[in-house]
Amino acid sequence: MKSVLSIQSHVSHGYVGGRAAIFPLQTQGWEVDNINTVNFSNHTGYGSFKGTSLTSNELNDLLNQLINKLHISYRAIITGYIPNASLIKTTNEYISLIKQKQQQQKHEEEKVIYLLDPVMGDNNYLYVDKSCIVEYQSILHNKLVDIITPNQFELELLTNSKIIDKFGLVEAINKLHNDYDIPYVVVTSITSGSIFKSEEEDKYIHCVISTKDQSIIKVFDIPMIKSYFTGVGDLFSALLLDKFYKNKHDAIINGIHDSMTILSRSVNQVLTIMAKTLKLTHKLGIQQAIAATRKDVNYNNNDDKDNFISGKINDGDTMKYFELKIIQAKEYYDYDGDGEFIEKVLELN
Amino acid sequence: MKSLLSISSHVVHGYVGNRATVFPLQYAGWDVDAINTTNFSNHPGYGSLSGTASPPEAIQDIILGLKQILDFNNVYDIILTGYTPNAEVLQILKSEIEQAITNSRNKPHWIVDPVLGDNGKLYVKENLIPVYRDIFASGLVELTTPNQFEFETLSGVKIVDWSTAKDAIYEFRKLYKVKNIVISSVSIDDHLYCVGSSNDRIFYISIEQIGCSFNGCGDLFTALLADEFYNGEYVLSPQMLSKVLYKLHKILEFSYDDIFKRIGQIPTVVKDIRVVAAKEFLTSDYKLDTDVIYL
Repeated sequence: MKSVLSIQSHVSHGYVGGRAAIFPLQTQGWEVDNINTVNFSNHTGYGSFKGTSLTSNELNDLLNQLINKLHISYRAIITGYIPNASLIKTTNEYISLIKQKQQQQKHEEEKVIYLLDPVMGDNNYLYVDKSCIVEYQSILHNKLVDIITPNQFELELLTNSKIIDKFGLVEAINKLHNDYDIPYVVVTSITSGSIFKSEEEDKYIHCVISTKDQSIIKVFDIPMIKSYFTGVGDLFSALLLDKFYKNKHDAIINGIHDSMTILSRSVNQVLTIMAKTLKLTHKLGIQQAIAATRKDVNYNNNDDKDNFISGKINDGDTMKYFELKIIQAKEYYDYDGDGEFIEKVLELN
Repeated sequence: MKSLLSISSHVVHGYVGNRATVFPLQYAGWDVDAINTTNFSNHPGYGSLSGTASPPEAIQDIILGLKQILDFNNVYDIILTGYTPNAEVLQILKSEIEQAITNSRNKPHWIVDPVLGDNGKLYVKENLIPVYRDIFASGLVELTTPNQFEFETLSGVKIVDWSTAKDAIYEFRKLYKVKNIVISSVSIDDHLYCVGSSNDRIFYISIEQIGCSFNGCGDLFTALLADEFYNGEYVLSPQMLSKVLYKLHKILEFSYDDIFKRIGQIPTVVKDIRVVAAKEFLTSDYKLDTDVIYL
C-alpha cells in the first residue's frame, strides 16, 4: 500500500491544490492523507473567494497526532500551496521528523520521497505572503527535498535571480542542486523569449529538468493552448510523484541507476498526460461555454469560437468553464508509455 | 457532467465523512464540490484525535463564496449532507439548502444522512435532533439514510421485530415528509437487513454479514446509494439497494482481508475501509438477483 502525505490547499469548487492532486493519485492506488492548508470556496482566479487558512497551532496538532501518536508511515510527501512562513516552518519541522524516523530503513526503495512544489506565484505575481520567499530559502538549507517543481518565477524567487538567458537558468538550477542539495529539479515552465531563441517562440513553453549527479540538462518544448488554466502545476506535481515513484521502483528492480533516465521518462509521461488533460479541458470548456451562451450569441465560424472563448484570470464568467477536467481525464492517469514529447539537451552556445 | 455538493466531515487520515463519499463518487464520474464541516486528523475510533470543527461562520462564508461564482440553486444534481458538528452549522445548512431548492428551476435532490450515533449511543450533541426534525418536516428531503439507532431516535419507536419496524416507518411518515427512506442496517433476530420505503411500500433485503465492525460504513453506503439513485432516475427500488449492498460488501470484504493479511489475526474492527485500494468495486456493473421481501 502506497501512502502519501499531501499538504495543500482545499477549494470546495474547482480543481487547484489538493483538489487537482488527490484524485489522480488515488486513481493510481495512492492512499492520500491530505491536510488542507486553506479551506476556500474556490480558487482566487475567479476574482472573488471566501474561506479560512489553517493556523500554525492547528497544523502542529494535526501533524503531531499523525506522526507522534498514530505513527503513520508514508512512502512520499507532497507539499504545495502553503500561505505563510510559519506554516512552512511547521511543515518542514515535521517532514524532518518523518525522514529521521525512516532513516533506519535498509533499502533505498523504502526511503520517503519528498516532492516540494514551492507555490508562490506565476508571471511575476505573488499568490502568497512575501515572508514565504525567505522561509522557503531557509528551510531548503535543511536538505530534505528530493524533487522540486518550481515554475520560472518561483525559481527566480528561490535563487534571488532574474533569468534572462541560458547561463542564468543553469546557474539558478545549480544553486538548487548545490546549495540545497536537491537531487531532482524540474522547472515546469520557462517562457522568456531570450532563453530559447526560436521563430516559433510564442507557440511554446519549456520544461527544463536536471539531476544533481549529472551535468546534462534536458528541455521539453510544450505547445501552448491559448487559455488560462489553474491547478496545472498542482496536477503536474502529483502526476510526477506517481510516475517518478513507479519508474524509480522499476529502475531499481532492473538495475538501472541513471537518474536522468528515470527523471526524463517520468516527466515525459507526465507531460503526455497533461497535454491530453488540457486538450480535454479546453474542448469541454468550450462546449460548456457555448451551451451556456448559445441563446445570446451567434457564431459564424470555428475561429471565432476558439478566439472568443478562453479562460481569463479574474474573470469568473470564463474561469468556471476552464476548471481542469480532473474527473473526466481519469483514463489518462494510467499512462505508462515512453512519452510523446521530444527531449532535447540544453546547449549553452 | 453530473454535479454533486457533499457537506460532511474531513479527516486527514482514514475514510469517514467526505473522505468516504468524495472519492467513490468522483470515481463514478461525479464532479463533487466538497464543504468540510471538520478538519480532524482522524476519526474517534482511534482513541485520540486532533483538529477542529469548522465554525458556523466559516461554513456560511464558504457557501456565500460559492454563490458568488456559480448558480448555487441550479448547478447541483444532488446535495448530500452528512456529519455536522453542531446545531448551529446544521441550521445554516438547512436554511441555505432549503432556500436553494425552493428558488431552483432544476431542483437539486437533497439526500440527508442524519449522523447522530450508532449502537445505542449519540455521537453528537442532543440539540442537533430538533434541527433534523425540522429538516425532515420541510418536505424538501428526497432521500434519507439513517442507521437503526438514528431512525429510532427520529421516529421515537424502538425496532425489535418486523412489526415494530413497520410501526417506526409509519410514525416517521406521520411526523415528517420525506419521499424515500433507507435504513442502512436493522438488526432483527441477530441478522442484519437493509430496509427501504417509498410510495407507501416497505421492503427489506438481507445483508451478508462480516464478523467485524467497520468505521465509515454509513458514509460509503450513502455515497454508493446517491450514485445508484441518480442512475435509477431517483426512483428507489429494491434492485438499487441490492446493487449498493453488493458493492459495499465487496469493499468491506476486501478491507477485512487486507487487514487480516497485515496483522496476521482475525480483526474485530476495521478502522478504515479500503476505499481507494478497493476502487475496482466502485464502478462494476453487477447483474444481481434481488431477494426482496415486502412488509
